[in-house]
Amino acid sequence: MKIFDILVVGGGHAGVEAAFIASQFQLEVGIVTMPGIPLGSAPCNPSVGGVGKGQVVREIDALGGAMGFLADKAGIQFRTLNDSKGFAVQSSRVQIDKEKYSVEAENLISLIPNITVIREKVLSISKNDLFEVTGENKYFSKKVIMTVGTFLNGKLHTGSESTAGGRVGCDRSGSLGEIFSQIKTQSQRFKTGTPPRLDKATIDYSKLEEQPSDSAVRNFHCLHNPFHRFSNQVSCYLARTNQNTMEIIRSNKERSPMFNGQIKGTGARYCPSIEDKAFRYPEKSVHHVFIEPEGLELNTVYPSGISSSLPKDVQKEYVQSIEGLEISEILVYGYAVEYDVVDTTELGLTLEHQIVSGLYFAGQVNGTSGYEEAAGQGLIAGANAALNTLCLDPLILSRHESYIGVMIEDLTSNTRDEPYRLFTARSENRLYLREDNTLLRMFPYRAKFLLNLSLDQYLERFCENHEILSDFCDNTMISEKSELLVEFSGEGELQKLIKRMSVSELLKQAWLNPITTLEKILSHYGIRIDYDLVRAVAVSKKYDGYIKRSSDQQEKLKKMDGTRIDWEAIVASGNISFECKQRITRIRPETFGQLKLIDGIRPATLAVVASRAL
Amino acid sequence: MKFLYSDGPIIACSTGTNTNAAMAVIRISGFKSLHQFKDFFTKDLTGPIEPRKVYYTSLVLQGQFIDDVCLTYFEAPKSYNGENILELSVHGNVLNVERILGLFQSYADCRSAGAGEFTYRALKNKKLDLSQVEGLDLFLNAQSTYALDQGLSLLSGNLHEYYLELYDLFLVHKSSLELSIDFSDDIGEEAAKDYYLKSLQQFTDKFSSLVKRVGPMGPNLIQPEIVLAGLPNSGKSSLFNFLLSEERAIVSSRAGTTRDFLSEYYEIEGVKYKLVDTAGIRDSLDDIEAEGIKRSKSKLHSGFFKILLVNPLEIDDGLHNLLQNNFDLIIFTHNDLPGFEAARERLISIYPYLGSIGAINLLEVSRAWELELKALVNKKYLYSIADKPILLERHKSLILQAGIVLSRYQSLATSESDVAILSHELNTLGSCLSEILGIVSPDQVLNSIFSNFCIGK
Repeated sequence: MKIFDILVVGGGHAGVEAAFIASQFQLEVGIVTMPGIPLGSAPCNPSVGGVGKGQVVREIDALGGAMGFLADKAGIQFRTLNDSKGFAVQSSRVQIDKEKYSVEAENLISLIPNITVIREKVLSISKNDLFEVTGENKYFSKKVIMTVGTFLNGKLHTGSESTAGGRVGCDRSGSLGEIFSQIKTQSQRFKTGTPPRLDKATIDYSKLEEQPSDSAVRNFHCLHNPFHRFSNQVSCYLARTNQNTMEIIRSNKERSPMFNGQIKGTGARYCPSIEDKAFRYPEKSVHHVFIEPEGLELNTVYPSGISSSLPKDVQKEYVQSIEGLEISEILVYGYAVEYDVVDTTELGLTLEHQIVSGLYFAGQVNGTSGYEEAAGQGLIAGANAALNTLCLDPLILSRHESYIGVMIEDLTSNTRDEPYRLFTARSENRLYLREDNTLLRMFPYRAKFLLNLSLDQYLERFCENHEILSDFCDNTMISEKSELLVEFSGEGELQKLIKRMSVSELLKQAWLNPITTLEKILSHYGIRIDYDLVRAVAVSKKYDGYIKRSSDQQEKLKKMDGTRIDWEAIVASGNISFECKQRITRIRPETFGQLKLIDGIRPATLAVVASRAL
Repeated sequence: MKFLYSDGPIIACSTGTNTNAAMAVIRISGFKSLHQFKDFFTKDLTGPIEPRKVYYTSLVLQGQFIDDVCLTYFEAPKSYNGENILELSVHGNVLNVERILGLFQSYADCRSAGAGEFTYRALKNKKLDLSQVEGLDLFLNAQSTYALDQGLSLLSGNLHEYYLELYDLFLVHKSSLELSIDFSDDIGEEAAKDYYLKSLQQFTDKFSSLVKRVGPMGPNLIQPEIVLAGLPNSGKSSLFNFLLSEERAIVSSRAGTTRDFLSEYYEIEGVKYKLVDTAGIRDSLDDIEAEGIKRSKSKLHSGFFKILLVNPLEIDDGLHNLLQNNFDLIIFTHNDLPGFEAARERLISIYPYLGSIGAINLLEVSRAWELELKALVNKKYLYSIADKPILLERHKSLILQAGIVLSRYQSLATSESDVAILSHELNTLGSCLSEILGIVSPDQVLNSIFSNFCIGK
């Protein structure tokens, strides 16, 4: 009988990351996944990255995850979002060939000797000394990571048709209740939806606005050549709904499962179906519809912006009312899926369940939406399961240093009434959580894994070189007579540079692009340096002052927030209200910051804890 | 306020325990269930008691009758401070009230409430925000109808509304910035920019009318003071006594008799002023007197209406220093002494303004003059409140501070294309405002975005 160190249930984006990171520690890892579904498949939008999410993909990559690598391989259109709005809010997004993405994921995992892929439906899980996972066969493991996505009690809706399943054409898992009586799920089920898929040959692209791929976007994986493309590049197209489209939807209100009471789950407000848009914004009839290719070989496109659970005939009618889509054919109809999510306040910052030790949860089952959010959690759960097995320090990312940290802290502090998606607005430290400095932010965390793979060597070298170039910028003075100053002076009177200044000071000037400026300075001195390094140093210098100011403000709070607390001692103490004790017992905060985030916690309790903790 | 208080039921007499009255109201707050008081009333408290309904019953202790009371139960969270509250109307004899308070403290585990503790709990349970608590304080302790109105206004009236509106406008503006970062794909660049500028304009307009109500940091209008100032032995105490028609201050010809300032209420047109007789301002070796003088100087600074008494026959550096303050009225004293007229003329030739601010001689002070004085003070008061000034110092200084940050942000809003930097500056403004308006959290920003804009795929 083989005993796994870690068994991952589910082969989606969270599952792949969990298994991939855990395998790097040379442990015996297994993935149990539904037969018939390839690893790392993309059942919804065919893209990876986005505002805030681009940072997450790069964080995953720098910690040793798979998503950035796979997205580069399968990337067929690259874009930088918020290109004109400053470096701190710029994010990369890649349209992927979803077939190729899964093929790459299968290849990556199958080449790793210490990962076993088991294609069986899980029927039950129990725990004695070891976890016993029963599908067609029995498997034993020291730890189990649940990454079951929308498959917990999944139910699909298209018009009045509703079927059991986690995804179109797929079976579902049983309820969590059957598997674990000790795991609490949220009483509110969640709902998500997906649009119909169109035949790409039946679209009149001449009527749509083209969005070509941007060759200047850096690949996600840090060891990839920055601008090399592994696949042929194609365009996305922009279409728009009109008055007629919205009328069709509005006149079919009683046939919509979302509005006639058939669907009980809560959808995300940031991801409304076209029905939502029609009824919540009656004055608006023009909505963007992005036509995104799903693959080079696949004949479907994904019309982003019109997800729907309306009956098939209505879907066809409203799609064909859109300019450019008049004769388009629907190949797969849109649907909504309702599913159970676990109560994430019962999870610790390592994503381990606080009652059933050795059991981890990651991904959509935790009530998040998005491949990137799922992958980020998968990595945290996988790494922590491995680190715990090896008796190493846990991986807990600070919310001040990473978007993954923001997400995990938000998730474990409170339950939500809608699926959780990352926005940059959720971070207090947006100026610092950038794509360009991801390697610097993640290196200290990765270093604690005590691994020595090519990634680790690259990160170490990168951070050393960063320090050298950063010192160069601080210490190299440009004299007031230098032609460089004239060259970098701006148009206005206030933009005339006449004083001797360091390169770092020069990079702070508002009218200069710090990256091209630093490149020019370096070439002036005849120095050639790697693009990634130049970018990281130049942008860091630009924001230095702001980051310092806001970090000064946050310093005290941060210190407080990071302070580890003993919730059991707090609950056991006398002078805290009953209600607070209940909440603390439920959420089990590990840091002062987490305690503070709990809804309805009283200032008095915080004061009591603070006075004792510090 | 520090978190000195522990949880658990507290009790207090809400109507004061200083004098006997027909009735008194006793409140108990923060108990878990009415059941714990079941032994104290003839009415069965374990049966159904409808909240907010008055029950007539007898208060008893171990079967012995104590008082006839009216009992009202306010069930959490629908009560003043969000906790369970039991309100008892009892007979208002001080001894009776004290006996009942003692009874609940000894036999029902209630603790005597600290000052402001009911309201503190209301703040804690988010029934009131800090501005409202300040408003309540102002309302309960107001010395003028204007302060009374402003207290009410902060508590639930138009100033409170104004702050809420300002909060909403700030939230909308912050949302518009976040919208352009996280959702520009959904909204479109131009629409996002448009929302941004429009919401900034709306916020600034609203905010500037608040700034107008702050003005420079002026005299204290919550407790306006009429301050009598002058060198030692200039006759301040004589005037003080005359105005109060009593021998309140010890008058003597020895300079330095008044060691500290004395104050009494002095009412003009419904406003209760504090009339302050300051210790004579002079350099003194006497420690107690020196302390009195220090305090007098600060009274001069915060005083609302300042009267200077001058003996023109005694001019020294102390007087020159005093004259650096702005006085509303000058009274010349000792006009019965020889050489007074010449000395007065000489002083006015050095300080011409002394002649122009309603100067009179102390001997001319009469009841008719007192009416003129009252009219003068009242005129200044009406003028001061004409622009509806914000009374609370904390609000004034925060608003002024936020105004400075706002103008810096406004100039950046048109010149800076880096939205992350803009958002950083906006957060600085937000933390200034949060102290009067409340904190704008990321969740509130996202909620505002989702409810106002069509977002998503």
